[in-house]
Amino acid sequence: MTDQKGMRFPCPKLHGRYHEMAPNVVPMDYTKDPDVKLPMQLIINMPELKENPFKERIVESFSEDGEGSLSFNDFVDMFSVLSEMAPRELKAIYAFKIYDFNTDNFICKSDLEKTLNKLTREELTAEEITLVCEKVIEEADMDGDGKLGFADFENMISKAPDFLSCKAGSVAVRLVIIDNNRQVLTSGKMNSPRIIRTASRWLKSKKEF
Amino acid sequence: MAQPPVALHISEDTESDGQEPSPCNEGAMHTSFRQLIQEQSSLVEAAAGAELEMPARDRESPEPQQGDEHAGYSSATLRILASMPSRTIGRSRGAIISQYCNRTARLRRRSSRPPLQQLSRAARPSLRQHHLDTDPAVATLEEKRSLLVKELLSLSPGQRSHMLLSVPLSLAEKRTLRQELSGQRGSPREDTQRGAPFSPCGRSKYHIILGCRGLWYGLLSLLPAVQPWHHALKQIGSRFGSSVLSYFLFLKTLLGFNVFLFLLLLVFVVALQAAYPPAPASHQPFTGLELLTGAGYFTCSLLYYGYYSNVTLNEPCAARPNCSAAAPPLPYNMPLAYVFTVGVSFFLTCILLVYSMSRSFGESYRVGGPVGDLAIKVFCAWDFKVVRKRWVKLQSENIRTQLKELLAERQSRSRPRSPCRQLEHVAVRLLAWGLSLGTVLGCVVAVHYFSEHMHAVQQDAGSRASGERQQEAVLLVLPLVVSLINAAMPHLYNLLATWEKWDSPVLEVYVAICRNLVLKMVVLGLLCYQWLSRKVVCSSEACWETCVGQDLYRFVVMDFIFTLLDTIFGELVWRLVLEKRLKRKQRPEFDIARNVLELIYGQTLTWLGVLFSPLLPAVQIVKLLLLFYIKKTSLMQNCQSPSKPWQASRMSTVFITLLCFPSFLGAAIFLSYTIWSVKPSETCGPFQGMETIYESGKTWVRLLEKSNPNITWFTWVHQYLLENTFFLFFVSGVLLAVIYFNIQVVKGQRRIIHLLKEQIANEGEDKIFLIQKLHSVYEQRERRS
Repeated sequence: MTDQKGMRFPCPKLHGRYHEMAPNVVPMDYTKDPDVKLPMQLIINMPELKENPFKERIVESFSEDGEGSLSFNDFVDMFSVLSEMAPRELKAIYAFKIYDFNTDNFICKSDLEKTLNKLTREELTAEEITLVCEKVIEEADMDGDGKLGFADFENMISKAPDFLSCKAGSVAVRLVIIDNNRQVLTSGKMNSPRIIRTASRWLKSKKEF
Repeated sequence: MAQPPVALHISEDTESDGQEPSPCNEGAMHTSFRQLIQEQSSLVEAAAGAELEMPARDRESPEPQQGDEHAGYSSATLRILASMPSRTIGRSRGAIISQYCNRTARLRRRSSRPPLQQLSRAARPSLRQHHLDTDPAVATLEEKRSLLVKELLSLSPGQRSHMLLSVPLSLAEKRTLRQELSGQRGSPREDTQRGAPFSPCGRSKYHIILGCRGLWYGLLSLLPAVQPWHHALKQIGSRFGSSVLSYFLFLKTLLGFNVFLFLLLLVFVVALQAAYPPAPASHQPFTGLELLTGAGYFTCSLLYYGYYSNVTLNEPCAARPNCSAAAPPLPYNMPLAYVFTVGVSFFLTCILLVYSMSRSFGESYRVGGPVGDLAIKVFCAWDFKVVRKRWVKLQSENIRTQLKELLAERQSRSRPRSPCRQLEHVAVRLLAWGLSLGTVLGCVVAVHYFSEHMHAVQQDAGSRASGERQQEAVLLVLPLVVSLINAAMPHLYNLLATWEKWDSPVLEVYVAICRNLVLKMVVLGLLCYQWLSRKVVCSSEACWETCVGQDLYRFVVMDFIFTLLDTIFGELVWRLVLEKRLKRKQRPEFDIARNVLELIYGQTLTWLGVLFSPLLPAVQIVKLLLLFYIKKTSLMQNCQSPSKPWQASRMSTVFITLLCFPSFLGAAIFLSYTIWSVKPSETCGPFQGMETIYESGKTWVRLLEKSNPNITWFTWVHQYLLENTFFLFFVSGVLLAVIYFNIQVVKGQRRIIHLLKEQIANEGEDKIFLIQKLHSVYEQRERRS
């Protein structure tokens, strides 16, 4: 029942996706807990992330070393948070990290400007951008320090009920990570057009991990 | 209170000479203190007697910052600032663990189990318990982790798993926590094994439980395959975003309501009547026209009210003298079943509607009011579901347009208009509303006179004894005209809205919806009056309920045909025209509001017709299924997502509210009036010969009373609670009092929120002041040393 790590993935589809990005590097057998990380360039070429303007920030927020390389655990974390079933609080925390470009735990004016440029593909004039940034900080900043802390961000997000529906990625990962006591650690659901291919690849390899 | 984190050895004379840095400079410190922390953390291990503690920063990216904005603050100030809880929460693992430890401790201290909704709102770092971060006894990560595990153990399993799900730690950390949890749980009780227990009974039970859980997880993973249209909805959401998706989700909801209604009617009314058919009337041959008119072959079928018998279904051979008693007698009171099923299904639909409406309203309503739309637009407008390049580009263009519109709106609001322009504005508005209401009135009068005319034509045709098919084709004209009005007028209202030049695009959409809705409801109201009064429609029929049922069937079918035509011409043909003749790259937009109102209109017709045609929900189900695939295909081939700002969740609340209030309420009123006050026909249907349909229920209660004197309480309840109006007044009064009370509570909450906001602003000012004082103190120390 239990293997070395005490973990069992009932759905190997996510590992299949991770493996097919770099088949020479990623082993199919994870029982020895290999230390494999994929660089950011490979991950942001995934079809689900390719056109997203925030793809670099998303990958950086989940990377352990902060440079954007994701190990398989980080990969699972990323899709678990992006999925439709992740709790709202978790999504708010990671959304704040994504929008915080200089990673100082505050969304300051420069972060907002970068966000706006990415959202509108730099088609707003500089004057409009400044105006929007000023108004956003005016609306959301509660303690008057001129930048948005996590509490300000969360308070503002709570007024936007479609935060959850918009933030759910189209790759919703159907995986239920359970440990040897059958308790749920993360949950999500996945629906990808390449499910059949990766599932058959897994069936061929047939390794327990 | 917490012990102060910093042991500052400062002298008492802390006069602040030297320049005081302005708050603007505070922005500079963020760029430099992170590099500083890295240096310092390596120094702290080497240096002895460090007076401050710095939590390890695990998830930081060491990218170079804008180097030229170096602070005027000293390194000691920056070090203190770096360890502030607001900077470290969410970043360092130790801080996250401490925060969640405090949260679980707070959960445990409450006497009753708190509702899970409360857990998701308390995200502000609690400064009061931050001593856990700097308490020298709880310094290391392992100790913090063990403390968290201890707190988690004291929670119930449900709360524990919810906590674990929402902790923002990496998977590896969660696994370690979980392992420690199971280890801690196992050790105090040596006799209970973590593996299989020794006794065979216990072991088999253990294996059964494990097997069930495995089966449950397997079923969970199959759930997407079972949900209807799961893949199609994902496809639509990824190309067009959540707003267009909300239309299809609404369609799915309506399908659910209809399936529920149909199943109830099937089980209790239709199936039984089909098993015990009444005396066969003369059946007309089936021609294709029946599918459109609902008359002819369908008149004496299960589709209409007239087929259902008014006798108890326990004498299957009563009507047919030559039948062999193949089916056993079944004492089933058909009239009672008919009225009860319809009543109960409406009651349950009402409860479902009110529940879903209040749930979606609760999600989208915020006590503070609609402030901060610009901030919400910036952070929440990007729809992460959209994946393909072209649609992503379109989305960013939409966001850009919406931001520009919001800015323009703000600027125009800040600039007061001249009285001349205001007068012009008001005059244009009045004119537009007058025009739209005038057209509604005109349409209603036109429908009224047209139906009278058609009635006269029909009488004429009947007296002239022209062909049956011709007579029935004449019946189709009124539904055609009404559907034409319903299809054409919304386009006129859209044009009117663009002519008026509303400032806010959201308001423009709401006004168009409002006008469209008024038209549809008033026309339906007129038709209901005509059906119930039967002065014009179905006045000559003996079995008027079947006639009304047929009329409603025709309306449903015509509505479907016109939706089809509207899709073909409005989307397909228009796209071809745009591409080929006008050579524009733009595609027609998918008009969500108009399509949703068409769905609501169709559903209203179904609800109106359930009493007269029990199989009408089945017709609506077929219609909705076809509509889904047609709309989806047309959307994929011909349309682009709307450029108007749609907040998907607020719009779903609006749709469900519109479905509940004018639509369902109107149908319920129509049904209640029919059941309570209208005399059913003498010669057909389950209520032949009674004064009102409701009388069947009263007769049954009297019968019960006579047969079983022990249940007089039932008749007492019926007489004093349902028939007596005093009870209803009392209940309404109580309900009004509860609503008033809740309004006062909300007002109080709003006041408290305002006070708390002021308090937060004051705290922020305090913080800035203290930072400046700190800086000046350190500067003085440096100057002296």
